[in-house]
Amino acid sequence: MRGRILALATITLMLIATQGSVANPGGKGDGNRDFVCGGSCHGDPSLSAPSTATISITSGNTAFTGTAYQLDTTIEIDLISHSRILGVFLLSSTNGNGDNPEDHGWNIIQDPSGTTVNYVEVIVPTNGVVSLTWVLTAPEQVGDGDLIVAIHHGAGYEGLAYLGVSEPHSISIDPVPANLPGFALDWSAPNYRVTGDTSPVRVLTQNTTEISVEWKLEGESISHPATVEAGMEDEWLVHLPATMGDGRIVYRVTTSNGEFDVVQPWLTMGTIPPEFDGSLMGARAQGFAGAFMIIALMVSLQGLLQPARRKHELDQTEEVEAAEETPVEPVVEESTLDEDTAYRARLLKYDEHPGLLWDPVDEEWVDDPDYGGDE
Amino acid sequence: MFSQTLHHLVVGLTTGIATLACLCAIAAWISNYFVGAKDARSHLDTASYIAAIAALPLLPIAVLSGTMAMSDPASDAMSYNKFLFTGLTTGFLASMVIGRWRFGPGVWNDSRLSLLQVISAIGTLASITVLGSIGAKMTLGESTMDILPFWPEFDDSVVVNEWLSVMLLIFGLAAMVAAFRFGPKVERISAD
Repeated sequence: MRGRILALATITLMLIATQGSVANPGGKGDGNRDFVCGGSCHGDPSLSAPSTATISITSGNTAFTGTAYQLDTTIEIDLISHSRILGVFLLSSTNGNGDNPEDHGWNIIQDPSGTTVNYVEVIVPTNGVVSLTWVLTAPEQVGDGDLIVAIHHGAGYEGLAYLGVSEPHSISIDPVPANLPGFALDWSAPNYRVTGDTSPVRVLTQNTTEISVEWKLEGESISHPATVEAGMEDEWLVHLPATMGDGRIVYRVTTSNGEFDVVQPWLTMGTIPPEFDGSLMGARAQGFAGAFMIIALMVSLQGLLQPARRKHELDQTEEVEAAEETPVEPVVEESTLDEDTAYRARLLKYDEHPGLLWDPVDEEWVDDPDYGGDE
Repeated sequence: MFSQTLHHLVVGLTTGIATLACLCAIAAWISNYFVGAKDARSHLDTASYIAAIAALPLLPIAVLSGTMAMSDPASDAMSYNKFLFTGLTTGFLASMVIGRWRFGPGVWNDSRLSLLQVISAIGTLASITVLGSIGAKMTLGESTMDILPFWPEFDDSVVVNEWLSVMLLIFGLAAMVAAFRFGPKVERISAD
């Protein structure tokens, strides 16, 4: 009994400890991956279904050892998920491990995104056709090699992964003819240039006496010749027009030595913004300056636009306030007495008006205080 | 990690309260065109004033938490723009509060001053919207404002030299002090 409880508890704990499996319907990002991501859920037949997409590879079947090789693939797809994300693999086998062409002697120089991985995710345009290009260096060993394009994608809301695999594209890897012109083995194509940069692209070659370069913006069909300036030995300076924003330029070099003319694969170069030269202190100072200037402007406008002050004819507030603010002179008792004596002196007494005195200044009768009160 | 969570909290509070302040101020201005809306205007004015005062101290907290949440703040145009628009937001919001404080609730009774108040409110609202949009672009990669065809690109910014920025700061501070000290004296406006 105790054993059963222990077993049940262990199983329950294991189930609780197990995290729910979450697929990646929004994609998993570009990277180096084996077929079906190395045996992930997409390899499970109950979670996947064959894709109806058509995958075609349109590249030559011959490559020279250690030289550049371009693989072009076109995928036509009619059913795709609402996010329209399509994952595309470039493989040399479909075993689930060791499928990357780099495991078979190939070297990826450039993938469709401008980096060097064998798996990319792209957004399928509305016409359902995706064209991608990988540029690789062929293996050093002479023989035959296979390159395979595989895809996975969603469709609708069924939750299944749709898988598609192309027919293996067989390539005969031949020895390099003596004196074959090509890129220098230690040269790598620049992936990006800064916006507006017109400095020439430096190309290093071997066994080459002359090169010609054609360029076009990505998506254009017509190419234009580029100006090439010879540098030191096997060094060439290629003048390509500056690009702006998200512009990507593609260019193709033809290496020649009088005996061979080798048309190299198309190379892609993106555009990156110039390095940002702002600082935290500058940002704070600029922010505060903006705040203060707006406050200054609005406060000034408030003063200018306030209603004009109009004084009412009966409003004597200012006069009263001014009077209140006037310092009151100290009352001197002596002067009050003098004033009283002077007042009394000017009063006239008439016999016919007993008890009253005449004030000639104010022209009024006042009571005679000596007569006996205020009658 | 805590800074990010704190930033989300403070930004939510700041944006909500400032938006309330601006919308109430705009509604108070609009109420001038309706007869018998005096009581409503009084309530809207009070709500706007209190909300604006509450939002002001939250702005620097939002900036500080955002600065702490980033590994390298102001090192790209997007985060640099956040500092600039925070400055604009603070300026407009403070102007709104100052206007209401100087003239009292009767500020809405004067057509020119109430227009100035509502311009400050709209400026605050626009700056807050841009700030939120930049934040969404930085964290989510998209913003609801993307649907607008004329929405400006925030991958670029107006960056001036660090010392020039300090000079601008001093100039702005001097201009503000001068506006308060040497500008025309103001009187509260009767609310009746």
